[in-house]
Amino acid sequence: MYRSLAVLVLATSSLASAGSETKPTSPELQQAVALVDAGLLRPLASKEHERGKFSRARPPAAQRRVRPLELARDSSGKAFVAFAVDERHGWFDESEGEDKWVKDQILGCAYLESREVFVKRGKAFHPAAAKLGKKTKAAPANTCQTTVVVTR
Amino acid sequence: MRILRPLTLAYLAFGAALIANASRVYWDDDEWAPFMIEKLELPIPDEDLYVWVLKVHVVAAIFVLPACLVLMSRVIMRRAPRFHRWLGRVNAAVTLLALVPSGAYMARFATGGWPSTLGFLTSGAIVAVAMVMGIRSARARSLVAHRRWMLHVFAQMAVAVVSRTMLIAADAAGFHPIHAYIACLWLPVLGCALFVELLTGSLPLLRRNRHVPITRRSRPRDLEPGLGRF
Repeated sequence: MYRSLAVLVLATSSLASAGSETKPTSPELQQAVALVDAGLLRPLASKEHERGKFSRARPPAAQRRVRPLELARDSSGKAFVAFAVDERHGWFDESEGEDKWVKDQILGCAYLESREVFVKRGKAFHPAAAKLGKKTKAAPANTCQTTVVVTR
Repeated sequence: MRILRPLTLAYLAFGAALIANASRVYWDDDEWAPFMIEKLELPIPDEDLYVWVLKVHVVAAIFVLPACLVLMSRVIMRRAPRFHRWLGRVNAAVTLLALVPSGAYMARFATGGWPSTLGFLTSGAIVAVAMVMGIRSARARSLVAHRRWMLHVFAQMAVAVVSRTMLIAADAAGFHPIHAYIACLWLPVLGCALFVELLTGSLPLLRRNRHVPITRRSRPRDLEPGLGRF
């Protein structure tokens, strides 16, 4: 009961924050925020609630938000939106300022056409499933590498 | 005060069980554990070596903390002293040959950078030194000194449970995760060491231990009032 309630709160809060806190200007950036939310943040939140509290890993974030950084093209001409994910921990008041957010906890990019989300691991980019624990291979070297900036 | 000892031991036993349960994920072939996901973002020179060392550390930790709890049992000390001695020997071997070396290697890549690295190394050094001194004092049949050093080992093992509990509380309070991680490591490491010194009446540190030979009739609580009360 408590677990499902917590998952629901997390899922709704991450969706709410993704939409309201960052206020992306262009439709592409809005689309990217929704894509990252559905493809990364929601599965991550439910995955984190399955794990034991006494894990060696850091405690999971209570809330996350997506900050789209720029709309760009890689060397093969594919458009992607680079993004950063910020986190908040513990109990907080929604009116609290920016200082409660821990910035850039996840970096990545979202390809809108193929609806693929990649996250940065070390120097390479991996499919978003890597953040959920799946054993993935690094994406091709030009993935998420900006050649032309379209919108910032 | 009488309730303090069973409560503390029950809390640590419960914590050890939770840690063991949370460690099952390290043997999942299809997925990385959340702890490993964090580490894979670091420049670890040899991932396979790290995973192997981590597994050694996890297995050793799953054995050592419950073993320490059993070794603390007065009933076993009185009624099965040979079992106490043999379990102590095995525990010492696992600690010195597996737990401490693997922990020292993993400390290089600890969350929080060098302050955490230093914290883990300090805890490991206390465990190693206290274990060696504990073995020496047991061989010298100095029971008071043996109990003091072994309590230091036990207290540092308990850091695993205490720090996780503190980390959950610090996270709920909304502290910065990295600052909380470092504080929740250092405070129990130093606090547990100080607690043992206070408990055994060993402060000031330069005070020499009484040499009490082990006899068939000697009981730990008769030898050291402070420990007996705990």
